[in-house]
Amino acid sequence: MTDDRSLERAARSFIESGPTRAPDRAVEAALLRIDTTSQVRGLWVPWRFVVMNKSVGIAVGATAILGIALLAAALAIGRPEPSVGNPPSSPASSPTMTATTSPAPSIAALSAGPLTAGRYTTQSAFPLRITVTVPDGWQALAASPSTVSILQSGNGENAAFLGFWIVETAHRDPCDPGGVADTPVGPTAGDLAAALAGSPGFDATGPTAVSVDGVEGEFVELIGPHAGCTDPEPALWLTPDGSCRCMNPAVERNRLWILEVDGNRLVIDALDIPASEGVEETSIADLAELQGIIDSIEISR
Amino acid sequence: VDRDLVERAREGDREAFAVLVHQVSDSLYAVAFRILRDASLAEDALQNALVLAWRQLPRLRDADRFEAWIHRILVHACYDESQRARHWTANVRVLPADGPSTPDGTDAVADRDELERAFRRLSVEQRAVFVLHHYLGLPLVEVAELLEIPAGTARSRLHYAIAELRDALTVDAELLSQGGRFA
Repeated sequence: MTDDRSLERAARSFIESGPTRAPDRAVEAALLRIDTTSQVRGLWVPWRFVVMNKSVGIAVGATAILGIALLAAALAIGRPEPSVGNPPSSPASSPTMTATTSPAPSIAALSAGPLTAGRYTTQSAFPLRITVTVPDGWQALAASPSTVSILQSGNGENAAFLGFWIVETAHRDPCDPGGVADTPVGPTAGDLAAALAGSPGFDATGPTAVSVDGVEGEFVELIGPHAGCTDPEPALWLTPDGSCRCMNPAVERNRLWILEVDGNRLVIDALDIPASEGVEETSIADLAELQGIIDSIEISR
Repeated sequence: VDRDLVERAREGDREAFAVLVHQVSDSLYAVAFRILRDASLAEDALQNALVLAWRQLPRLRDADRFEAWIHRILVHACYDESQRARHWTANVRVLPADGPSTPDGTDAVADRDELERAFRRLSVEQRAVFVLHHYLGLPLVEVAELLEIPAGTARSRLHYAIAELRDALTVDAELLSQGGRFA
């Protein structure tokens, strides 16, 4: 062997030799496993981002400011103590006002559809009993054994969202359109928090230690995806029943509280739209409602 | 690969996916074997890649990219299998031998066993680039795209793969001339 070219030729000849047919047993075994395997179906937060007309944006902004001023005056008497420890990293972005209406004393099941102001708890299909106080103007989305979520209704396409997810693993690269949820993630809240904080294409803050209704965990804030994200529907994580947390292409802010509760890895996902060029962010009033719900979270253990 | 089959499988049609599996599994297995150099590991990588592809298929937006997409999943499955097997494949060591099998390095290059050993010494990432380029015949730009690495990285992996093959074969030849063999 005298040069790289002849070495390469010999290596190529070597590489061409070898089996060219897959053993039937391997193919049949794979098909058997596939027979009992569900496909991953995306659970997209059901809104689409719209670029608002600037004058409309100004009008909405002015309305929001006026609304906040009235709301602040109405709430000046006092509010309940929050049960969720806000992470120290984003105090300015975590309003502390509570829900705008008085909750009903009874606790209703959180089933899909519009919600009236009141106290609601997750249904039995979800493995954890989580109770929240919801103001008027919110709706529950269809739940699954690994997902329960509520969304502000009637407030435009930049409404706030709160989801409770049982999470199995994360995506190696959420922005990869052909990507797979194959990031090796250990079993703890810290493992998942570290993986999510390392998601390419996002600005991450954290993980930082946090407590939600007395449950210790990790907090991560993700803002993204960045402009270079090639996947029109980036996916962050996968649930045990094969659902992915898929995003809209617009930039989102996801505040994630990652907890371990009764053997389940729970992710509380508070989502809003931050301000950016040509984009109407989630209003301060809507953020206040979202924070009120977050503050009301109770986790049965 | 039939685009219609991919779209039906993406909608959850298991029979359509089974047809796709039969269409692509020979190529996938051949690639897996050549990357891993082990039939059992290649079977495991093939199975895991097919199951993962089925699970993730609804996320494939462009049915025309199916073959490249599933080969990417396979290569990642090979990486995982290689990692699992590392504990024993790393235990290559020199043992005393009965005597050199060939008198000089040039002849040794032609020897399949030596090429096999030399190839196993490459990293699995280098082997993947080498196999996709030289076995599947993909241009390096397409290899880079499939592996989601910069084209320069694909090029340098191939370059270093050749260089390391040469080094490995040279070392083997020297050891053989000194009366040793690998186990």
